[in-house]
Amino acid sequence: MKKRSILSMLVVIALIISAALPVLAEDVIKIGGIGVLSGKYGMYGLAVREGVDLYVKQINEKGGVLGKQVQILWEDTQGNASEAINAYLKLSDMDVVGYIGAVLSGESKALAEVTAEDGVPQISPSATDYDVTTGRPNVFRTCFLDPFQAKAVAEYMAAEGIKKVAVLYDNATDYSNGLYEAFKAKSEELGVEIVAAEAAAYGDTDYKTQLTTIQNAKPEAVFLPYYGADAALILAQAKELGLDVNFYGADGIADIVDYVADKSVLTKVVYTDHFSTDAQSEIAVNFVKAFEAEYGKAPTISFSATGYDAAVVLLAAIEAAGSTDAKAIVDAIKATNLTAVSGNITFDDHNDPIKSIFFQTFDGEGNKFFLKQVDP
Amino acid sequence: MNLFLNQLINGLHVGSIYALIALGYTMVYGIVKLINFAHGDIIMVGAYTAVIVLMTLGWSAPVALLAAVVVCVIFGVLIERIAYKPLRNSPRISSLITAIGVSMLLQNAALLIFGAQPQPFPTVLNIEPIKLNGIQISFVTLLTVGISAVLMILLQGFVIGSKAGKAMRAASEDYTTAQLMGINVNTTITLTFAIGCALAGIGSFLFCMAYPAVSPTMGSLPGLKAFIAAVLGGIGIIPGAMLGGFVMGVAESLTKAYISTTMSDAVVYGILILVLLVKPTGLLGKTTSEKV
Amino acid sequence: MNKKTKSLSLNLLATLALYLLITVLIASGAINNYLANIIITICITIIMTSSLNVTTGLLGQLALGHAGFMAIGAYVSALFTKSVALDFGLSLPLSLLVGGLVAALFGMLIGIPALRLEGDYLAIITLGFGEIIRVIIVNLDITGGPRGLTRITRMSRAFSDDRLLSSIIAFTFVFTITALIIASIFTLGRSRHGRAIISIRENAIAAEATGIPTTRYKLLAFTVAAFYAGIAGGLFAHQTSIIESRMFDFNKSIEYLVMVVLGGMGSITGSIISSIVLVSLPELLRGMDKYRLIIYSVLLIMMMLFRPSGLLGTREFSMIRLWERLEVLWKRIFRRHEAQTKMPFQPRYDVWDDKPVLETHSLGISFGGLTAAEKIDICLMNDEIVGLIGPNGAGKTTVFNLLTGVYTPTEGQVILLGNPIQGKMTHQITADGIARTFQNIRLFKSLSALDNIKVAFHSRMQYSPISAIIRDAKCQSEERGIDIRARELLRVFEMEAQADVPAGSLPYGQQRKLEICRALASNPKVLLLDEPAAGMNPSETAELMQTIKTIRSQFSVAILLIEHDMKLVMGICERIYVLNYGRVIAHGTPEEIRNNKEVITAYLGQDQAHTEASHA
Repeated sequence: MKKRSILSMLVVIALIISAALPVLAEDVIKIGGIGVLSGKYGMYGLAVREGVDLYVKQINEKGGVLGKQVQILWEDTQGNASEAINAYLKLSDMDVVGYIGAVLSGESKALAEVTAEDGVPQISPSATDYDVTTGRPNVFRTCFLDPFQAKAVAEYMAAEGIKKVAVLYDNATDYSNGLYEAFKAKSEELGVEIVAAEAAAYGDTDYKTQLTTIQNAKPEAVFLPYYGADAALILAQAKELGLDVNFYGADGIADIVDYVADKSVLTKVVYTDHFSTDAQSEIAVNFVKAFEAEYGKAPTISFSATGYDAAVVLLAAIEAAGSTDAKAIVDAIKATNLTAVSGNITFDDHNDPIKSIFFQTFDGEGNKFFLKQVDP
Repeated sequence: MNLFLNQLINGLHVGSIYALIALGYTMVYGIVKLINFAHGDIIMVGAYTAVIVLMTLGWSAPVALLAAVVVCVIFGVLIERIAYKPLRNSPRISSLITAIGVSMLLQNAALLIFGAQPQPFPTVLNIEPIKLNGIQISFVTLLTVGISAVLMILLQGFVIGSKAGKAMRAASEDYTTAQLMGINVNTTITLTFAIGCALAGIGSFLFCMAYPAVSPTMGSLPGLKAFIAAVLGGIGIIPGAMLGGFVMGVAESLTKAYISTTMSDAVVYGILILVLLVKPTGLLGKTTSEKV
Repeated sequence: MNKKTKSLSLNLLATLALYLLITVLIASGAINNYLANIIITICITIIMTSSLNVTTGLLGQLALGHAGFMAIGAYVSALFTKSVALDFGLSLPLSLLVGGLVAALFGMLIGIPALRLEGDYLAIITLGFGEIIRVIIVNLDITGGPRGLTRITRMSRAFSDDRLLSSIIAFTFVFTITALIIASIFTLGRSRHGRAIISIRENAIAAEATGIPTTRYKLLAFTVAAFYAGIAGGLFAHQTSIIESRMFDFNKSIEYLVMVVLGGMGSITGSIISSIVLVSLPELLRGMDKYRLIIYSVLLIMMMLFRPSGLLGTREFSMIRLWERLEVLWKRIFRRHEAQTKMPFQPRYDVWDDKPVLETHSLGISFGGLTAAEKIDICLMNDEIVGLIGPNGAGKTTVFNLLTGVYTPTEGQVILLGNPIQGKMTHQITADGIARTFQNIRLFKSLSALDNIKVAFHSRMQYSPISAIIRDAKCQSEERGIDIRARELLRVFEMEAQADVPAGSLPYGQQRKLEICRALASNPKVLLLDEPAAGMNPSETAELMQTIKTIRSQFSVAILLIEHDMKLVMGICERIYVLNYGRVIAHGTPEEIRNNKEVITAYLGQDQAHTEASHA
């Protein structure tokens, strides 16, 4: 019965591994970082990681938290919900006291499922879906929410005098779908007419049919609740068809600049961001400076800023709680009131931060520039 | 009506790319009875080649196209020689699994070398769309449909008229017998892969002009669709692949435009299933039953 | 205690030991939550791969949409536990059952139209259905659309408030289900139903001709596989707490297929091993994530190049061989104590002396306007040996195909024992009493000689798939009965020594004999032999003539044989029909045929016939 002997071999291997794990030092405070660090959406997680690592380094230089050094353990989820759970189960056996993550909304919900079971603190720097914190007293975030940014986009359009708008969205991702729903509700309220709402399937590359329908409806602007890579394809095809209007996006579109060869199309893109490198507050300026010194580049993906803020909030709460007790930390996070890189952070009843939105666009070379700040 | 024509044109554009890729599937299947799952990834290989030539080396588009074709052919022939040839007499499913393995290998090697992030494909042709009575055709569409049509006619001519083409047809009927007739089956199979991959190379360039994003997994979806197109038209039959490609493209486009954008994949698969149930060997397939 | 109980208890013991080991390790904390979760993933993967192996390995049909059934099971089961207010310990098993049944229903619905197709086309259809299921799930509201279902109760925490206890119960639950499913696939696979499924893989046409209702068995295999995949999906949903349609896409199906192939198609133990290795390997290699899939794909290619049939091929691992050895031993010791052995009943035909056993009335068929056979009137009396001869292309095999229902006649009648049988399915006709052999031998090559014969006993056994799974008394007594009968039959043909040899590795002459033997196993009243002497040397042919005579006297069948060897035809046939251009041009005793002008013309051409006739 070899199958059994192989399984038992596996168990033995597992034993060896688990025996090797607790070698880690005792006198540190461990926090876990969980999120997508590879694959198509890997750069969002990597941006978060750079922000978090930067703050951990800074606070360790200042003597750490509760007199101990802070250690952050990262686990890659590959954007996969079941991997997020695996990562948590792995870290939870290593005396981790709090979690930063996950990065995408889907994996964050999966992670919330397991952190809630144990009541340990979790702060997502980037999960913008409303449901992530619903009924989860231990789960927080340092980014604004999809409904909020979708409403802001609708208001922005109305303020620009746009009356007819089309939407192209991906109905197979909750991010895109959620933004569309919220946008629709708000624009109806504001009297902005949605003349065409076209959905595309996840993983599509051909959007010409939808864009032709949209073009036929003659909108003044198009709302594109997409991530950058897909948005780049859509812009290229819109150009091919001669659809010449402004495109409005949400935070996910921020990295579009990496995916277009011809940067001039980007002047037509307006989007909402969590942070602008043009921000003037002292802490923001210092953050940009420190980030550039550490990594030799600007924090162009704003999740570096919200990641930094998540680390600030979590570690400040541990300090305030005076212990690593999960309940105490969660209570301390709930009571947070501090000025962070991406603005003031206090949490409402739903554990969401009340935050500002930065509208940005691009110049002809693909550099982001700041248009307008919208406060809640 | 104009909207309908525009959508039809969109469908023809996608369809002609499917058809080009489907030809590679169908030719290979015709001879070695192998679903070459790696064929879609050959497109990815061609696309990266073109990006490197255009962006890194800064050479012109025709050179990039040529390079893409050459590299695709080299890859195709090497894959055939290393991975498929030793399995020619094994159970069909083994070579199918090998093809899946090759596909995974190509994707993951590209992932390691180029990363998961899509790379932009530069604009090669910057020509305004042509407008005619409210119908508008983008230049890329025109070019794609045109090139595909010409290539298919050439290919059909080659297969029917030339000596090598006749050898291919003979080998696809029965390659043991073809061998006895003095046809070098190995050369013929290699030639088949080479032609299929050359078409994929051209296809990859046309694909990137329409969808300028190059990523490690870019080939799998069009590859799958093209394969379905080949089956739809009757796998192993060259005109069938073309017909299947166009039918798929137009069906997809019209479904998105008039039925449901999100259900288009389901509709396309539904059409495939219906066609196969009514005509189990595809639109142009001949009914063959096993001799008892 | 019967022969299998002991080997069964051996298996049970090993499984129990493994279970206890893991449980103790979990309880002691040596297996932490993370590892316990991976072990559950392994179990779920094992269910997926072994169920896929039922369609791909046993039935031999490539299925590319297995993850679709998993998705159905996952969603149905999750919706069930979310909406039913029952204790979790009760609602989870119920939800799995419901999820499995719904998946099975879909498996059947998809199977019915899809099974008209074969091979690659069937593969594509399953791919298409898998994707359609996924797309529909995204577009439904009840499934949460693109957001998927969240907050599904996680079983490793829900069974008890105590974390450790809950984890142990969850493991126990999953482990038990996995063990039961594997055991059921084994028992089913080694029953008449399993043999029927495997015979389709080996040779679908021969399977039908030996009395296997192939469509029904394809459907059974699809349904069973879908049922188990549905259960795996339900477990998966309650393991991860969140399910999205994207988790069950084409790539997922491929992943499971690769595992099945690496383990060896048709080998359940192979699937188990490859599931364990391929799930745990990535976890062990976490540090080298970048290279993992490259190594994985290179391994896959290498495996196919150097061991294309997978790790275990179609064989099962040593425990099974041990089991078989035990069986033999057990049989030797306990045979005489066996209380019940139900023999398949003896020939059930009435004596049919004065009327023809088989007759056709102006039988004919045309393919799209082309007449392949017409106005065929043949009649066979009891115990008669009749020859069917004619030049190549005269339509001899077509007649056989008409008689056995491979082709449906477009005109005329076939009367067997007084009842019309035209229009029936081949397997029904076989059950009614016509058996045949094939011009080009169609044995189930990788099955043993004995199993080839057992397949043909199929229609004379009654036990159901359920009793096959639980191995009840009915199943066991019938299996024992046909084992004895099959061996008896081999003895008649002096082939007992080859009982366990795979049919494909028998020498040519014996393969021919085995095929006749298999045809006789279905207890026919009429035996059709299609060129039995083809490829035989004169001494083998002489032996064959003897065999045919023996068959007639021992088995009381009428024999109709197609043969080109005139010595054989003239030597043993009492009457001969001559076919040319799809018509009977002459019939009579060998002597009459020998001197029939028309026949000579047909064989030798007009001119020569003249000369020959004048010589004579």
